[in-house]
Amino acid sequence: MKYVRLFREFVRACLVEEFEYRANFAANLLSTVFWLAMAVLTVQLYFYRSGQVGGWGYYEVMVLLGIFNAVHGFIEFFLQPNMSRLVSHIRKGTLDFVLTKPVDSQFYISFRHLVFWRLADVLLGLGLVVYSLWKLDAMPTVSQAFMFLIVFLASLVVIYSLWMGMMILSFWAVKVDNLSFLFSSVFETARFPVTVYKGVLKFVLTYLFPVAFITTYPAAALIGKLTLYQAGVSLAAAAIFFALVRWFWKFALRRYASASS
Amino acid sequence: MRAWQLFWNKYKALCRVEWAVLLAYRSESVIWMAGALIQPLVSLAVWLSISSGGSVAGFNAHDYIVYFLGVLLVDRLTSTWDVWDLDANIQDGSLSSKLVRPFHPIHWSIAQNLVYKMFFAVVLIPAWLVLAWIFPALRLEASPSLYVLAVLAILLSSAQRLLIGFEFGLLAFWTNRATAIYGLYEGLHLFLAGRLAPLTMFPEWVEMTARWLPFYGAVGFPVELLTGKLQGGAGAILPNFAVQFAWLLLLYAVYRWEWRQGIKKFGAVGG
Repeated sequence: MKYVRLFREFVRACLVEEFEYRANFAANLLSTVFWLAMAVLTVQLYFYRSGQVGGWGYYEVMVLLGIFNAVHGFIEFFLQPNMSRLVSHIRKGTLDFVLTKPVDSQFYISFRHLVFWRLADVLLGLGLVVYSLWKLDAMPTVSQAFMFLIVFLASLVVIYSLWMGMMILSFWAVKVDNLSFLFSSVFETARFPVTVYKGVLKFVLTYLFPVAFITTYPAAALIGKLTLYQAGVSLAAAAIFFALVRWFWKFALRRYASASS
Repeated sequence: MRAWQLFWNKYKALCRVEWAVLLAYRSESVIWMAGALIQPLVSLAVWLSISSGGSVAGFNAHDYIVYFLGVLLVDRLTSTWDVWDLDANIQDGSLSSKLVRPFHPIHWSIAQNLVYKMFFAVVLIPAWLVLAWIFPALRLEASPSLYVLAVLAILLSSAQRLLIGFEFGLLAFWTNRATAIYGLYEGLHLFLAGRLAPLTMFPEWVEMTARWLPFYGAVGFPVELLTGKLQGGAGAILPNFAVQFAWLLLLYAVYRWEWRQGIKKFGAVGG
């Protein structure tokens, strides 16, 4: 309960901050729309020469693209702003202030800063999902929608854990900013169903950098392509990733030698 | 003669500085290079999946593989990042310190580009050769004369892209959104330069537009020379060089004009 209240307070503080820069807000929205349009054009280009990509039809890939956009927005909304601060906290030694606060440090580090205009990405993405589903004439059944919700949550947990794990590395290596660049490059692979990739790449993208859980499975759940077994795997993966990263955070904190110690 | 000697010495010094910087940040350089490799590989995977065994618009699996490896190489050798540096330097006023030096700031950019691209070339080309030795699918079949032309096209393209990046960066004299505007340009570039797909995959009007604008010449054209897709003889090759050359001249003129206007506008911190 305390954490819900705290989260509400974080939201309020960030909203106030955001509205000080209204012109920026509008310009950023425009660029969001531009990039989504570009992404749609990319898919159109692929389908200009083909009827399917990795066994998925045009609107099915569009559903996936919408989910990609939403997840991407989610990253920029709260992962990217918080995690880049973690790096500078560690570098400057200000992490000590966070650690002395009477809240769970991982919670504080993960949710303190939110960039609200990025929610536009989430909304536009979900809008694209709904539109494509309507075009497919395949409104999901209640059980499919339920499965989607669960798998989508699992996807967010996985991506959170990946980011967090990557940023925790900054306890040892000082310059992790570049890793986040690498991360977003690899994340680009999530724009397409994982069935597109073959061989080693497919293995890597399913188990090591699980793009499959992040966009393919949620999209598959919505269009009724996901088996119960896959949904279970994705839940298990989320649990494992989260547990690992929680452990990693505690481990890193134990090893943390602050500026004053 | 002495002027040339002096100029050359200054350039050597600049390159040595940039080389030292690169070595100091070598892990970053490698990470940035690795990250940039992923986008062409994703496109390659999608196209391989689409063509799966057959061929699309005259491209079979082997064609796609060498095309996107070419994109990966050519894009690394020609793309620039001056727009971010310039934008930052103009906004925080640190451009002034470069202005008072007896060497135009663009030479710093050129030297930096030369050094980093040498580095990329030294890493990527041997890597390709070794991989091609192991996997026959990666081998190129173009004739040696085409390689020479490809090198020429890559040089022209990097000059062109350097000027374009520099010009977008100079917009920071007037607006604080220079990098965002450049982002829009990059979005178009991704399509029209042939980085997402060979231009023949597009509808014809898009292809024609890209050929006349400074897009096809930037990536698609050098790649197609390198991979031997442009076998049509001089008739198919020369017009593209002409377009590259014409844009280079035009971009140079724009750059001269923009620089002069910008410097007039520039009042740095403390100035």
